[in-house]
Amino acid sequence: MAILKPILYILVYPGLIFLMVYSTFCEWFDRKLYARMQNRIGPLHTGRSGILQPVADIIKLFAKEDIVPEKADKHMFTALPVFALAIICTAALYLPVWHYSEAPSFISFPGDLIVVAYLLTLPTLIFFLAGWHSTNYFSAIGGVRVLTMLFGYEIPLLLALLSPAVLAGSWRILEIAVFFQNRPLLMLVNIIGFFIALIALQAKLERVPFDIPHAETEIVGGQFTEYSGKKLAFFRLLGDIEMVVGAGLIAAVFLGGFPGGLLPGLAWFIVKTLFIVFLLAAMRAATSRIRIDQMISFSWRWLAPLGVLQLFIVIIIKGNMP
Amino acid sequence: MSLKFAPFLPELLRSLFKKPVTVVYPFQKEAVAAGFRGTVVFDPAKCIGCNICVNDCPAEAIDIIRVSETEKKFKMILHNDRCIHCAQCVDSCPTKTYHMDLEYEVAAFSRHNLKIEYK
Amino acid sequence: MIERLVHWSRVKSPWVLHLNAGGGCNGCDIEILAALMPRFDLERFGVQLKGTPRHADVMICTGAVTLQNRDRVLRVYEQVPDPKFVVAAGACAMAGCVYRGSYHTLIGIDQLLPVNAYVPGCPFRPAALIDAVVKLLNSVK
Ligand code: SF4
Ligand code: SF4
Ligand code: SF4
Repeated sequence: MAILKPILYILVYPGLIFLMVYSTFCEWFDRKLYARMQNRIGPLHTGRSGILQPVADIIKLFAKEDIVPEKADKHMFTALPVFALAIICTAALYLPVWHYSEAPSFISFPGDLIVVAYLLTLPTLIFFLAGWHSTNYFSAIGGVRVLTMLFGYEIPLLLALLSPAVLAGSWRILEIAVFFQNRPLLMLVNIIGFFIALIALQAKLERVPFDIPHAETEIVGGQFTEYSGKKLAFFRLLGDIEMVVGAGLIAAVFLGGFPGGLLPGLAWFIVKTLFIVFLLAAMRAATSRIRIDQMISFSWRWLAPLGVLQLFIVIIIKGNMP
Repeated sequence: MSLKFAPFLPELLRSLFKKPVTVVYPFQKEAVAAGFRGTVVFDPAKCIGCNICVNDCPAEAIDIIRVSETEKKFKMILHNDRCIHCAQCVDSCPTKTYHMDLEYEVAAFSRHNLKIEYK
Repeated sequence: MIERLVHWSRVKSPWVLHLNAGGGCNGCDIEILAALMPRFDLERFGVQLKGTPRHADVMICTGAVTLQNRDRVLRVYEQVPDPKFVVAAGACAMAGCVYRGSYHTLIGIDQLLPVNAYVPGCPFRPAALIDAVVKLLNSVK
């Protein structure tokens, strides 16, 4: 029994199976919202109102021919998508959805916030390597842009995640969530940090307005230009799962987590992540792509100072808290 | 740089709850405006074989072939893959042999299926 | 079972690459964009416009193939992974249109690539393109 629980945890919920199913659902939700905000219908004929569209995309990619460019580094080119997917699935295990024991365990320990933030950064590095090892000019430019953008949004994201951690006085996601569940009003203090984290997540997911690395109209397909078939399917799945994990992390840290054990926790998880996906889709629909220098100056001129301001507010409130 | 998106948000939310403008096309046909230039239609009874249309067609899409040596009877082959739907033939023909219908769903899997023979 | 699943996914998720073969007036390119816009919304069928040939399933070609572009068009076609489909859209791609007989264009892109569907028109209506895509998807085995 004791061994069964971790296995279930890794394989079923919130591990692989749940992640695959829920991330495709999230992609459908995102695409449908995006389409409706643009006054369109969006996916319609695949399953009921297109709900199976992401699944169809991924199955199709798995069944397609898989091309490795002649000059590319074969081993790196093949291994990178798998690595990236494995890393992001590992990050999902640290979301405090099910194990509601207070004692530290292998999925929840002091400092796991830093671990998740670190694991969320790794796919970005892998995107860069993927672009670099395709030995294609467009991919290389895309890869370099990925790294350049990383320097823009990573610091504001960490600053934004820092403030709730300071307020709760803990580096453990579970404890931060419990802290905010007990004092819901204190969530309002972090409102600036919440929006900074949202914008940084949007940049991390490389969606409009931050889709600079794979800007179709400028550099063909960015870092994924040479990827096709199964490997592209891995990267697509990776993007979806990254969205779920990022949304889950923000929900756990800023919105009070997912209280109430297995089933209520699942319901909270779905409601809160879908809310964040909704905000991300609105951001995607309302903006258009900016240039890379604009993105960097935006994050250093606005996001980082606002993050520091947020930190100051939190420290002052923390000092005056009984 | 201005990252304005506040002005767009009300519009986005309004479209979110409005009926979409999309026409679900293959299931709900779209009305074609009057005067739309669809496929060329030829009336063999009226043709006098003057070949003005063949010379005027900018896309070499018309062949007029005499079918009998003794009578003035002609058949016309329209190469719909070349036709640019300009209606020059309708204007040029002295006997008003041509008109254009409103048909546009003529996609085919082979160029030979696009050839239309009127006789 | 697996085969039926794969077939289903192929029909439901055609990603398109839009290729202008060189000649032509761009009228057809604008109609393709019109087919992707809210009024006709090709995404209903799962169509997504992709920037790179490696991601695409269906190549929509417009414009007459100029001799200078011939090798490039061929190369782009070879970069699309199997199974792939080509749609020749507009009179230029089908038969050269008003550029017929010019010294530097081919009379139709099917001189160069196997073409699966032809969309007549100059330019075609967006609805005609959707009609062609649906016909093509229904015919996929
Ligand atoms: S419509 Fe224009 S292109 Fe078509 S057959 Fe008539 S003259 Fe020729
Ligand atoms: S111009 Fe009219 S009458 Fe003359 S050949 Fe053509 S169709 Fe016949
Ligand atoms: S077929 Fe007509 S509209 Fe289309 S590119 Fe050629 S000339 Fe332009």
